[in-house]
Amino acid sequence: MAATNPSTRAPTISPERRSAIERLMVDYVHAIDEGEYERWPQFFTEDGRYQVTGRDNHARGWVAGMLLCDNRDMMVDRIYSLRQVNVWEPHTYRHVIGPTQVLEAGMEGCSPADRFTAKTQTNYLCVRTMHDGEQKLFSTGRYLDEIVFEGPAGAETPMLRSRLVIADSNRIDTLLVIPL
Amino acid sequence: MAQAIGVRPVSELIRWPTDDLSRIPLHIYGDPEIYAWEQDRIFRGPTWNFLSLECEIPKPNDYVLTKVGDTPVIVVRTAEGGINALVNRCTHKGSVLCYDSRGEGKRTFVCPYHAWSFDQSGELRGIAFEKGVGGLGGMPEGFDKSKHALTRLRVEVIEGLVFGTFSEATPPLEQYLGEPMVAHIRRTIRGRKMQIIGRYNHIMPNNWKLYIENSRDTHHPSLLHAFFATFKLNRLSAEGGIRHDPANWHHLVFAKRLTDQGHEEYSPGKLRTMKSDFGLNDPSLIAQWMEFDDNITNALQSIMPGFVLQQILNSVGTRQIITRGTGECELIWTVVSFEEDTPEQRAIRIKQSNLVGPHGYISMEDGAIGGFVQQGIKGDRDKQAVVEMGGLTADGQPTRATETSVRGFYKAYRELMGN
Repeated sequence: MAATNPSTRAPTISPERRSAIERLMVDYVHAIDEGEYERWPQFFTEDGRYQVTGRDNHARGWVAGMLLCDNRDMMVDRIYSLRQVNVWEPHTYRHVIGPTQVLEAGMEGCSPADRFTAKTQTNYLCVRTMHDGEQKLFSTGRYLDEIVFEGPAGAETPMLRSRLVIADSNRIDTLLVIPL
Repeated sequence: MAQAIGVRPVSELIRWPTDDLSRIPLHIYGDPEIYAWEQDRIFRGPTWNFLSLECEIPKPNDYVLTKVGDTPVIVVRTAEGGINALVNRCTHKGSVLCYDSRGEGKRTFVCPYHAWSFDQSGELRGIAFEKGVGGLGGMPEGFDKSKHALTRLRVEVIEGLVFGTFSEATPPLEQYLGEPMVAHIRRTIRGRKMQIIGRYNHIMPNNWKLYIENSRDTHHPSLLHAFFATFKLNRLSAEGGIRHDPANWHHLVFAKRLTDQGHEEYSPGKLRTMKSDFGLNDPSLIAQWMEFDDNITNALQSIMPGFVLQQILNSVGTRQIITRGTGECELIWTVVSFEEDTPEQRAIRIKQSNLVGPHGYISMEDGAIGGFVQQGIKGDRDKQAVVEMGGLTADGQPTRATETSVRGFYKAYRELMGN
């Protein structure tokens, strides 16, 4: 997938769609940072894909990333496990995201039933705060997203069909249980 | 005595509370002097240390960087196709020679500082301005370059796993591993050509020994890891066991998930880890194919000092411990597929990467638990850990409700440390 070098001509996207994508980006990180983890799968389409990987893994084509979910059910399982099953020291995230760059945008096909899709990338920085107050820069990187507008005409909502989180560092401190 | 300079003798530093192997003094997890001895006697002592996978340096003149304990090491495929391992330290001032984690076409290693150059065997071949300038300066007449080679490790390879040792006293690799360990490595890799599918660098907030103990702790999986217990992936009521090498240094623990007969301890409500209300919306995560004729579905092989070969369902991979001071370590997870895998088999391995690594449904808790111990023992360095389940010795046992393999680690540890 094209990554960092979109053509110099900006893809055509309406201000309404652009601002809907920006709302999605902001809402996503607020849901996670405020501990509303059950909302996390809802940002994705049913067949949505989520994966965290390291920059080096990504560059080398090593595909077995972290927290690899290839449908929404797997995301629901992850959140149930986070809540009820796994043992981890309580902590929260705070994401700061940069502006979203639209790499590609347009109708997926040519028929009226086709949907508007966009490929975007957004930088993030994530600080982890432990229950005792210790804070640490946990991860920085970028979201490489495929977004599809779903729903009835006139009231379409952007959903993540794929979010690839490319962390700059391949190191994870202690564990990765909350999605980035 | 290479590393442990300026520290007290081991005999003054470690007092084992008992003559048997059932007690571990807690201060060994936080003492910098003991750590210095460990570098010397364990990592640079008569042990074989995992260096890399052979598939990471497929072509002549490819190299990768790794570490043995704290020591940086270059692993290079020679022009002739062999594998050499050299300490990544210029013999002039001590700078690392290579600072990029991997590369190709490397016939000589030239120090970035003053351009001393070494060949793939570690021999010092050139010194910039060796003869000085205009007859002035330069190295003295009698300077003998052959006395300033890089430190070179002995290297042996088994089934694509590259090991190195600093010591001339280490027995040949297969003898060091012992027949049961060699047999299981061959059973797991089976001559298949590995392809890396992912790597995770897992920083653990604990002393390296706590992770190695954990990898050998055969009765914690279904008690700590609810995922294992709930899905009957690795419960003590399944057929399984422990195999050791003749010296009880290395260990293999295995389970056959389909033989689980159940046990009263796993009744609803008795253990935190038995979640009767937890089901997977997408059970494809734990779908597996029977890859091995022995029907073993879970096998961890821990090789002294810091290497683990893993098979969890169809997730096959290696774990390499890197020391990072007394209170932290790094575990490098590498998960692989094999060239002969079908696309479906490869996809299963990729999906099962969710079970392992710092994010793993199971292994994330191993990242947390070592830190819990490291926190818990801070104020009680004079106390000791009790490892008495299954007795006081380190022999192989036909049950996993035992700590025999943890005692095995300390048997090897004490033999190497010399007390």
